[in-house]
Amino acid sequence: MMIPPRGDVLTESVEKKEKRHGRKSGLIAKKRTFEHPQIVLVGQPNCGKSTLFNEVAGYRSVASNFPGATVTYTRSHVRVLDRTADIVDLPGIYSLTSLDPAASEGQRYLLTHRVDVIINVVDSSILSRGLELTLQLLDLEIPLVLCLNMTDEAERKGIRIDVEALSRELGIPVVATVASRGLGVRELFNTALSAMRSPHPGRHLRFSRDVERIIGRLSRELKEKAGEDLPFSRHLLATKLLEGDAAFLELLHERYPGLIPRVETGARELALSHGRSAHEVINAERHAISMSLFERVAVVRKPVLHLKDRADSLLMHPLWGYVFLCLILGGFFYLVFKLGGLAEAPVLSLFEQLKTSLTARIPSGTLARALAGSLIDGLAGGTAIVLPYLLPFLIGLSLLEDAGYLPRVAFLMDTFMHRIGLHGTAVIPAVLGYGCNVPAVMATRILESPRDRFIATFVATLVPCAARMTIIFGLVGYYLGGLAAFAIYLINLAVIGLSGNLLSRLLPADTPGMIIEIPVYHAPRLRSVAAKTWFRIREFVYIALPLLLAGSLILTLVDHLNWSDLINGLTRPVTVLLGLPPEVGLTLIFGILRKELSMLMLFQALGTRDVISVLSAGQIWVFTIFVVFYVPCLATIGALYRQLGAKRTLFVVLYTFVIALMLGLAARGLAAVL
Amino acid sequence: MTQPEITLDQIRSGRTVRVVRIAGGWGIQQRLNQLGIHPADRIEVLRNGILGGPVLIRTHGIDMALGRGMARHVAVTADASKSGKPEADV
Repeated sequence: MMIPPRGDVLTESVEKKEKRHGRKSGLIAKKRTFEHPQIVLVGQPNCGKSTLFNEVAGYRSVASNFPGATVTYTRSHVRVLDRTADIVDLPGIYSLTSLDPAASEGQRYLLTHRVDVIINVVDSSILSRGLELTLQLLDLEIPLVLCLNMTDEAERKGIRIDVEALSRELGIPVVATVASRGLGVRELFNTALSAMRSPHPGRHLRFSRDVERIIGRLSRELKEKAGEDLPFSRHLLATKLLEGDAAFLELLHERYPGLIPRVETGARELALSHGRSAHEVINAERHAISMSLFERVAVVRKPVLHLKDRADSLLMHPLWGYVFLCLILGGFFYLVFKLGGLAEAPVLSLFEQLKTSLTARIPSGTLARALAGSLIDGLAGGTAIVLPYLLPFLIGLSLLEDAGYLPRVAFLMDTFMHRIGLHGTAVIPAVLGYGCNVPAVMATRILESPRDRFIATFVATLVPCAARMTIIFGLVGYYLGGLAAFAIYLINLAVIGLSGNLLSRLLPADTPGMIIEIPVYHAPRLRSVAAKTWFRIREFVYIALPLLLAGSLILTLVDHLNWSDLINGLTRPVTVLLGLPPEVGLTLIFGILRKELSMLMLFQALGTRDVISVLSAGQIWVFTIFVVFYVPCLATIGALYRQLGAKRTLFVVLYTFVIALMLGLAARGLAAVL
Repeated sequence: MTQPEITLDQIRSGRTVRVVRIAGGWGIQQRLNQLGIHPADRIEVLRNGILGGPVLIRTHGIDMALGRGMARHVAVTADASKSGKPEADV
């Protein structure tokens, strides 16, 4: 299980501060100074912001290849060209209208924090759509630099962009980059630092006259009422109010309720004269401006087709798509299982040798010897049993993510996900859940409706994460064979399906349906995969291993003081019910701290790593099933609490406990029959 | 137009259509607009009809999957003979 990355911790504290001063200040911008510049990266989802961020900030932000990978912002303190600056990676937003949590967060950040210069990152291969956001950013009247990213991809698609012409048209600096290869990145930040002092905030590209007339009128009315009290562009505010943006309307409601009827009049006028609602009119205008701008600055030729453009004819095929899905995911798990098993035995025997040679020097029967022995056992459990499975799994997951396969899985699985009242996008957090439930819970933010987010979060916590995978492979796989391990995954899928179905019946709703972009495949880059794997594995190294060692020592002490019976007595109801030896009780408590501990502490509690000599095959089976399902680990409970609040978190905890007990009992029955 | 409206979910794979209007409330229209689907835009249907699953489309060089429920909100016309230029507000 993983603790959220550093950036999130920072976000938390910033968010808390906002809440404290919160409400009253609303959407009010901070003053700008040039000391310690604040550079903010803004762009549409999957345009390569995080890649760019990582290029300058070192690997701090998890870049992936699916839209909405960054759900909260990451700030990094860096030295850019001999100056210290803060670079902020905002979640991808399509527009400044607050439509989903990510967009609201982005919008709120831009309007309430000090921002000295915005770097607007655009995927050059889909420039015309990207410009729609650029137009709105220009309206913010904050120094702006346009970063034409992924120019290599645009070239491949046959799109050639005249950088200078675009810069002239927009009145802002434009820099072409290929962030994934570090091209143009230096120039970009150089330009951003000088643009910061620029008195020209860029040209405003205006809508057609009748639309501007209504925006202008509302803007004047805002000025009369509010004067200079609104430090950001009134043009933007008026436009967003006419578009019906909830956040801005709320601001108006709080401060100048008298202006609400003026907004309504304006919106009605627009709708009447254009025959469609005001927000449609404004969106259409913005779209038209972007399209014509694109045509003025870009030449589109025939694209160069690569293998990756044809891959989808197989990978998203009505039949072959599913065959490949099974092959890819099945092959992936099989490989992890095989590689892990291959490494497990030799590393274990290495530790065994170490233990005998080390403990031979300490007199037997003393506490010191017992402690030294348990320390080595703890270390052995962590490195020989967990790491061999965890490492290949996390590498594989990073590869699938970076290549861009996950949105394809969402496409293929949409129909099935509807059975549990969700749509295909919910597959992404579920798949990430196989790595770790914490980022999976956070990734549910890519879903729009709160109800969908709840069900998806619930499903994600049921998914056996990599830590639980090590238990499945290390115990059931190792002692009962691969088929039994596979059966646990199938049982788990069935439980997820039934639980999701049950929950969606309890919370019936028309889900708004899936819209997901299918990004171009990218060859995963070694650096990014390595960084991401390290990012995820370091939680194990820094948090799980020390906990594990401390746990081993505590267990030895508890044993030494003869307290184990006391503690195991508390968990007796569970162990008796499941037909497990009482010593197992303590390991279940450790398992709530971190899932893999329940297996590793099992070795300690039983006093051997050769579990089969103490537990029957049936008991191993029951233990594993119970551990896979019962209560999410502490880090996940923390993430759940933040996402769902106390009541629903408690529901998840109790539900998983009851399910685990029921399944454990059923497993015991099954084991008795076989 | 008097003839019954065709929606995106009814278009067979391989056809190119033009968006007539987007039905539905503020949220759905905003979302589709933001992703790049507007009235008068051309949409190529790449795949449709996998087990009643989503519709895979391409517009403005972007591939995206629309769930059937979503696709039903996009009214289209099979006539895509006009040039690719958007008629912003007709």
